[in-house]
Amino acid sequence: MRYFKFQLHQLLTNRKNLAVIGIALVALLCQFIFFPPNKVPAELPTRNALTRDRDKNMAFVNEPHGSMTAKWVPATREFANIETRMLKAQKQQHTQSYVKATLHYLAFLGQNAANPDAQSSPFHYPLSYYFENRQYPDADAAFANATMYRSLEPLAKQAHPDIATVKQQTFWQTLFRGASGGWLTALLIVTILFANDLLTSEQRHRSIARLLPVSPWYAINYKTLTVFTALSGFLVVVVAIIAAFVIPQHGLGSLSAAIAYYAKDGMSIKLDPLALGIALPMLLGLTVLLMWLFIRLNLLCQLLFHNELVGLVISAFLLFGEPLYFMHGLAFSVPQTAYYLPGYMNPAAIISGLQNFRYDTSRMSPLAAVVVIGSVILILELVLFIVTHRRRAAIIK
Amino acid sequence: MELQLQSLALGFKNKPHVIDNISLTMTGGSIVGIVAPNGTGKTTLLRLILNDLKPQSGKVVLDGQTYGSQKKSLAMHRQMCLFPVQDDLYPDLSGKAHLDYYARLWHNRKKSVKQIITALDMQDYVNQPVRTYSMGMKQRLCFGMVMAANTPIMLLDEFMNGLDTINVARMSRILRGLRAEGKLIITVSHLLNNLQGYADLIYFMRDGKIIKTIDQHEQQPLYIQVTADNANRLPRMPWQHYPNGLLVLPVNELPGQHFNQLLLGLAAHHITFKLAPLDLDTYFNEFYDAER
Repeated sequence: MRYFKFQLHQLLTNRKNLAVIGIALVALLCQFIFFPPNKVPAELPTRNALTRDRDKNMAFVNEPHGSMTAKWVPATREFANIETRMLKAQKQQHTQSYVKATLHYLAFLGQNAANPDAQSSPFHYPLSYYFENRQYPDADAAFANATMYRSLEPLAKQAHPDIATVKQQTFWQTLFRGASGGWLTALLIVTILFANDLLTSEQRHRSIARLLPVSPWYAINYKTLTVFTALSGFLVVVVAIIAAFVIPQHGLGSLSAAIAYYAKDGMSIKLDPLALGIALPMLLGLTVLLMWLFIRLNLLCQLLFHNELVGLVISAFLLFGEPLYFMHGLAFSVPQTAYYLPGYMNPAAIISGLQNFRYDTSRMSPLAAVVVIGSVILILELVLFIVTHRRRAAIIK
Repeated sequence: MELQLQSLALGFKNKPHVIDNISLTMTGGSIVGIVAPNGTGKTTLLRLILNDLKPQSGKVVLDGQTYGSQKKSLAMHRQMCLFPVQDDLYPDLSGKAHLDYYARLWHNRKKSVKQIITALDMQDYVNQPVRTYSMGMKQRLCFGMVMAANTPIMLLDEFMNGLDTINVARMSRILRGLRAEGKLIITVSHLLNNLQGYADLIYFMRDGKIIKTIDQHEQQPLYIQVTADNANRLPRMPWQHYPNGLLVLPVNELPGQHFNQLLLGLAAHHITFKLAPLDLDTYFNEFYDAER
């Protein structure tokens, strides 16, 4: 226990680690100020945007359009009606009607926007998808549209659905959306930076660290535990900050609120609702597995190479190396790429099925993530066990 | 408890005989001093004892156990503690944290950290971060850490460096207490006269070998010792010139009447002399002056 406490104290007084924590917290605050993850999703237009679009559509209906009139005027009229119903429900604060109208709105867009069979369609997905320099804005927007539809469906059955839940702004939903938006990648970067010099920093304390009566296996296990403890504390602080921003405005929300899980088998697409009460623990579980992987990988690299660089380079390769072998939009022509580790670095994308969507598959499931990450961890554990149980093994040179 | 070094040898490419076939037996309840100039293998010897370096031949045996498997090595490491290097302390942690760390890791339940802090007079600063400590404060802390480990074997490398005379006396007193508790204390020190005050056995090392052993419990040969500036006034005798400016004459080489006459003559000519065994400084100068 004393070893653990001492190591934890050392970890938390390490200036590099303090700098990492400071930068991460500042980044989080900046994100909340400039890009709040609890803002309304682009799929749910604001009252102003809706009014503007509805008026534009009404004007379109009342204008002559030549040969296209027969095709688009009735559809536009229908769409304008849906928008009017949404506006009316918003005005009357009748959330169930609003949800139902929104489902129609999303379904209509899904059928008519960016439809290759309807080249001259006047309907489009939210314009933000086209401003963000995306490679495939239509596909991305269609995916977001479909998942939004699936997550709103259960709410339409409720008599008085919570409007914050509809707009995905509650605390639990914000956590999931934040995780999808890069918070977990940031957490993994912090993990790597914490673990990166766990052993090599002891080189500066050689006469103490090298001759302690503890085995290398014991030492690395406790060091792993200290990183986990420090990161848990960090996570608690981060979540507390998010709660302080979100709960007073939008409430805690319900864990039964659903996200949608996407999978595609051949030509059939499945979008199943997944309760946040299940999705968030799964997210945490996968994140913990990835953290474990990066800590142990960095420890192994330090044991083998006695420097921080090798671990850092391999970690960066795993975390950001997916584009080296995978390009979004290409057909899923090399099935084994679905089992390459860099594809599993964003747990939120696995839980929501975003990776399935990107790879056009159903193989990149949470279970596949556990198997792939778990297999690498098992190999790492085996090698670590062997390396630390050699006759003259030591945590530093 | 018995620590044996059996034919230990170690060399490096540029220095093939840093440790050259050293065999020693040391027992609990004694203080062993190792004396040699800097860079002659004293610390290497301690590192061999700790298995921090692997000998090319020979072995370290502690109560019949040798370093072998990791389990055996750990069992032996639980019996010994090395005086840490000052620069290796954790600057942002307090002295108390360091002491607790060593006490817990070596499972010391007999000697309380509080007692050690009092014994070393560290109460005023022990809770402050180590980066605020002076050299002497750090040195006391390092000594306290070894005390906190409370192992049967204590390896103290240059542990009196940077200490004032009060603290040298304090630590010498504590060392005697530790010896009385049955510890085997192996020290490397350049404060030779101080070492002579508490060590039981003193080994001089040169070229990787033990070149002289002084057992302080045995009767040491007496020498008449005179400073070299009296050389012209001394009677013709086989005086030996020592590099530290001493002229010495071994008493056991003089017949009885010569000895008496010589002492009377020195007294009559008001020549200050000392009749005592040679001190460690003198030996040191004798053995190592040619190397300088």
